[in-house]
Amino acid sequence: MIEIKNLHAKIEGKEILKGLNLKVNAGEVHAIMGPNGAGKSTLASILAGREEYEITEGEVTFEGSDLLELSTEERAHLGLFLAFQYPVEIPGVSNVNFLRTAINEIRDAKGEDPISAKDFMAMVREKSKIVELDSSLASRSVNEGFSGGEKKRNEIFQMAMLNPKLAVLDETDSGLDIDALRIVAKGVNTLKSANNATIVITHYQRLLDYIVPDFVHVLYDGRIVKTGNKELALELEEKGYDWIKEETQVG
Amino acid sequence: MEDVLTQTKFDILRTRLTQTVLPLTEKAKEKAQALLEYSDFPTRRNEAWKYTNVNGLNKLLLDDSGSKSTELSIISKNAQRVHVVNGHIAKDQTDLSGVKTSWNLLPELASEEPFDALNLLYCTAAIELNFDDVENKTIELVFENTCNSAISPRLFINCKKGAKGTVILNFQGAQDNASFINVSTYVEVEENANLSIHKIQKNGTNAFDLQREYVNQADNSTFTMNTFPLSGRMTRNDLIINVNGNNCETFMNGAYTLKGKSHCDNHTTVDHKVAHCYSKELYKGVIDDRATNVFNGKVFVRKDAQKINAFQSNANILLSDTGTVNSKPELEIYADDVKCSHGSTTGQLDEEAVFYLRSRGLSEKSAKELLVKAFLGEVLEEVEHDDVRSYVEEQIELHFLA
Repeated sequence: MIEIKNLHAKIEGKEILKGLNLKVNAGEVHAIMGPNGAGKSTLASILAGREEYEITEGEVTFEGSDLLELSTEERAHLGLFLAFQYPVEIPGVSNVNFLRTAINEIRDAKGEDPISAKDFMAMVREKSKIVELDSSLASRSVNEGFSGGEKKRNEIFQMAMLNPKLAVLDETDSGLDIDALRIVAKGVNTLKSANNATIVITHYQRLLDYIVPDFVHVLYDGRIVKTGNKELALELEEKGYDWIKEETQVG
Repeated sequence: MEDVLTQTKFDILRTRLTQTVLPLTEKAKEKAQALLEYSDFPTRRNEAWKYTNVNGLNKLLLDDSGSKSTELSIISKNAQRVHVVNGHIAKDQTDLSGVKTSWNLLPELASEEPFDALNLLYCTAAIELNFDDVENKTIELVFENTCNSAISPRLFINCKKGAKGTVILNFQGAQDNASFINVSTYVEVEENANLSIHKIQKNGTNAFDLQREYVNQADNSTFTMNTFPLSGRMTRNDLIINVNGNNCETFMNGAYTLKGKSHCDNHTTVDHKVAHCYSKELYKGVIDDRATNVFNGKVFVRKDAQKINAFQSNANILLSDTGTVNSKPELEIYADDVKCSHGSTTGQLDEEAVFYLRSRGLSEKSAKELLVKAFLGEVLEEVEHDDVRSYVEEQIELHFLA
């Protein structure tokens, strides 16, 4: 699905990623954890194609393509999806209107015909149920006046509509109460299949009680320094990150 | 030689214009002529024309060349239509019922504005519309400009006591038309009347379009002016509304899409002379390439004009690094029990929003288009006439295709 090799990246002269390696196969859920400033959100931003970052070394292959050569929208056309840590409010642009444009541009890129209005609306109804999103929210302006929980549910709703191959969830649990967390996790689990994959970036183990990862990676100082199964997440929750830092410095 | 030295720019322009065939009193003629003789083209030193230079008028050929046909857009198929081709009424394409187009004497000049005097002296068509019914009738005036000509329509729009009316002023120019369009519109909104004017300025890329609307509102009347400068080399609109009556409502909306080297200048004045009135103004636009936009909105609230609610807002989005915006909202308040606000913003598209949309698969172009449509959508929501709204929406889409 995606393979990241020796990725180095900097922003405003400061090196954030220092040789990151990660391979994700179809059907897998990977969690990336790590202390503040480790480079978690940088990784998400680079995968989605934010231009502020300078890639100094390394490569990323996604579905056989050189991801770093593609524009943000081309990445989306290939099936990459980023759930934003801070979803943007866009007054005046309705959720459904923009999603319909997005779906049709993705279909167009694949040489497919646009979706019919009827099929589209049926899809909106079906997919908004997955995250228990009121259908009135679907027709409102993108994220405008949404609560923190609604914004994150809207991210997962968009993910459901776009049906990506690889979803990167960037701190999707931040700012969520326990009920919203459960709904968001249920949505992600419902969308899971043998053909897609998920990278969950998170600070806390809590989310991983609901979205159970196959692999847990610890990102520290721009590199993945430890990989384990879901037990690693529990260990991190209990012991914090200091032992990882010490281990890394010793190593 | 001496003659040349004392010639003003108006003198030069006038040598290429044809005197009106419409009847004027000697007095009216003299007043207009005197006004022009003592004037020259406005310069930067004139506050009202600080950012707008009309010297290019004298480079227009105005030789009636051209005659490329327009892809003429009629906005409201169901409206009564008056068709004006290159400044002259095309009688065969016009429904003149209730429309006055012939005159024993044209009314005299009411303003002190040289371009209004020029319009009077070189008027190519005078048209009077009268609304005297509660049924809201729509009349569309289509100004089709295919030749590079001087076009000076003089319009009188009267909405009588208790009547309702809608006027569409639809200016359509051939693609690279280089006309000089100079329009004066006098509007009377009588007691309890409700009048809406929608003005579309879809001029050729080399056209100069200078327009003035002088509006009087009587007690309990409602007036709406929606202005859509969509294309043209130079567009200048002066909208002057005298709210003379109590309990009036006044709405001014504008949306503009500028690109290339086009220059657009909207000057508006609302003069609240008496109490208990409401006015709301919203002008929004996008500026691309090397285009320039000027907005100057004045709201006066006279002494004793208490309980006035007046709101004014201008917002601009620059789509290029080379576009320019000069925006100046002004409030002058001499009463003490009023609620007024004004504001002006100029910025770029929200980069974060563009990225968000692109991350969902929209191309950069469609992301920007979607955001611009949303931005201008706030103005279009104010437009109650469906045909006008959908026409402008369509034009905004075309603006991005070209």
